[in-house]
Amino acid sequence: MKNLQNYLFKLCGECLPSGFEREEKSVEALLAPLVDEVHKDSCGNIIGCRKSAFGNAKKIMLDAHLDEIGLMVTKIDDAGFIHFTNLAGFSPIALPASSVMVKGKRNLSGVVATLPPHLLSAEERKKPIEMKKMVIDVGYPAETVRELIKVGDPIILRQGCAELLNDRITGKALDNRAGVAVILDMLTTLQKMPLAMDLYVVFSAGEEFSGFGALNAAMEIAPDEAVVIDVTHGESGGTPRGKAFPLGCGAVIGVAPILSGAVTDRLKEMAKQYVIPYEMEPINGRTGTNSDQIATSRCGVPTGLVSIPLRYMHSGCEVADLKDLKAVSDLLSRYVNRGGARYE
Amino acid sequence: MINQLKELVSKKSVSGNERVVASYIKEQILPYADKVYEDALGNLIAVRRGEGPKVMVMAHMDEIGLVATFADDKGFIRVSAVGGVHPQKTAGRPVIFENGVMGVFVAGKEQKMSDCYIDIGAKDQRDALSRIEIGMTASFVTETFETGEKIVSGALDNRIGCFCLIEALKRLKNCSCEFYAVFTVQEEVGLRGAKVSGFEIAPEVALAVDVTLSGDHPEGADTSASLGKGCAIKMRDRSAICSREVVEDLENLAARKGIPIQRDVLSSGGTDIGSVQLLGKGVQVGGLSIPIRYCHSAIEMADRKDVEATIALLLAYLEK
Repeated sequence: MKNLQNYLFKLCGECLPSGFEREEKSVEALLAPLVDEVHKDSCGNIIGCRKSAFGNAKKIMLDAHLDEIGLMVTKIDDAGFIHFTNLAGFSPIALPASSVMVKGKRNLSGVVATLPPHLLSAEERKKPIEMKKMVIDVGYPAETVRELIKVGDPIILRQGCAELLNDRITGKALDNRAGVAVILDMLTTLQKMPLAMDLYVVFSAGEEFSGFGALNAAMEIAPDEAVVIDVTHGESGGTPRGKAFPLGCGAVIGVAPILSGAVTDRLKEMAKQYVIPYEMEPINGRTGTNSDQIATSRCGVPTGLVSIPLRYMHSGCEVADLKDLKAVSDLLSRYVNRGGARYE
Repeated sequence: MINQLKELVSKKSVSGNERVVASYIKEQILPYADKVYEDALGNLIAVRRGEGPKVMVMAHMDEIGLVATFADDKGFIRVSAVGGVHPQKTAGRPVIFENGVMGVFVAGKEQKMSDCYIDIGAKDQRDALSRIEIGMTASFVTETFETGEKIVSGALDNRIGCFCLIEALKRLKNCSCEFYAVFTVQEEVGLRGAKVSGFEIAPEVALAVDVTLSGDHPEGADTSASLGKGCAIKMRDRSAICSREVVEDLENLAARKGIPIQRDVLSSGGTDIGSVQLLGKGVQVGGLSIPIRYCHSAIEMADRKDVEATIALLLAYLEK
């Protein structure tokens, strides 16, 4: 689990809001030693490939999205406050009093400014604040801010990762750096083993926006099957029953109309056979993950979904359990090693 | 500028019914393209050969409007919206059906689309249905005029973009790319024309020339885009996040040529590149936007300096 934690801490330090993934360099460097070849495509996906020891092998694509939720500068007012809009995935609920980073000519730390409760009327105190009424304060006067920051620059949450008790980690962008860390850890496990399948791993761009990265990658790779690794909701006070999973429960295997029964069954079989803790997650309708895009790409790609329970999703203090990450990593390495899904 | 724009706006083209404006544009561009053709959906495509990457530039020909769903007993025509029609912005406007029958668009008290109707002055249901057919589209009647530096007209979204693309074809001298100018259909109802045209052309870079909302008037959008400050380079809207390389290319070109530009971040709305970006292995996309006031009302306002800047930047990109 130390390996997983190291990867996770490095990954969560990166600033990769949707649409800005192409500027990234260090994730490629983490992936390169674990695969035969790595490249970055035009939309910002990082794609790594390990070829099978056998000719004519099936192609499997493992996808974990690399991007994180973000905001975008819309204007800088005469007092130097930065106005912003949602770039991807942000809800106004998680924003007030957050510590953020604005990526301009220089990276600037800022805070999401809010009025003190003393200055609000009783009526205003009851209502959530709208995003368009919030501003970011970076401390500088307007002319300096305008010099360093332009309309269209991205903004992300500033928190890094920290250890909590009991193998738990808190930080921003665990959605879905947890999934990326799992794939890197799995590749480490598989390193000494020959593969029965051609393995393509995709750290995809733009999931929090529209899933464009996964769609483009599936078109390029043309996989025979795919497994998406993403996060699901972790149980915490107030989560609705059946929509969240206790931290530490293991790998969460999705069951949904869009997902392939053959892939899902095989994932479950592997978990049972190798005594890997797991739960099933029934999803009606869209899964809200890249599986929706990949499964309907090309002539249809049989796709599975494995999730990691995560508390406080899309906030700066998401919480995950390394034991769950380990379970997903183990499940995937077994799944790939044993040749993927079986079709009868 | 104003005369050509008047011609463009007078050819009504509610989404799905773009033939009239398409044939007008075709006439205009024929002498300036190596090949001009239409596809099955009605997209109008002009090709200019050149050495270099395939660049697709889109401007949508369609406009928002209404479609007749039924006539009630008293002869009032009930309607559905085609694209983003807001009754509060368009109530009380005269409208014209595709066969020339005119009427008034009336909104209910609550300004819900389901309460809206068109009054063509019919006696009863029979009379109404003898003059228009169910399924016919109606567009808002508008005037096109200049006031100072500003241009005022309905359907500036997006005839002004069509105008820029036509001008670019006319003025383009040394094309440094394989240039596909595409006048798309059905943008206002889900970026549909662009999707099939993009699939056929499979470009390396796709640009959209379209309007954007400005924030420079009372109750304007929460954006810094303003009339008169230049061509607005799209950063993101609801349909796409633009490629950094394309944004940088456009900004560097503008700086070199002294073309005024501003940046455009749109919290709502989308444009044709949204569907092209998702095609194949992915397409690098960017947008050249003309800021307008009162978007999707029957009367919109743009600044001619922004239009000129947009044409200049587009030409610089195609000739670089």
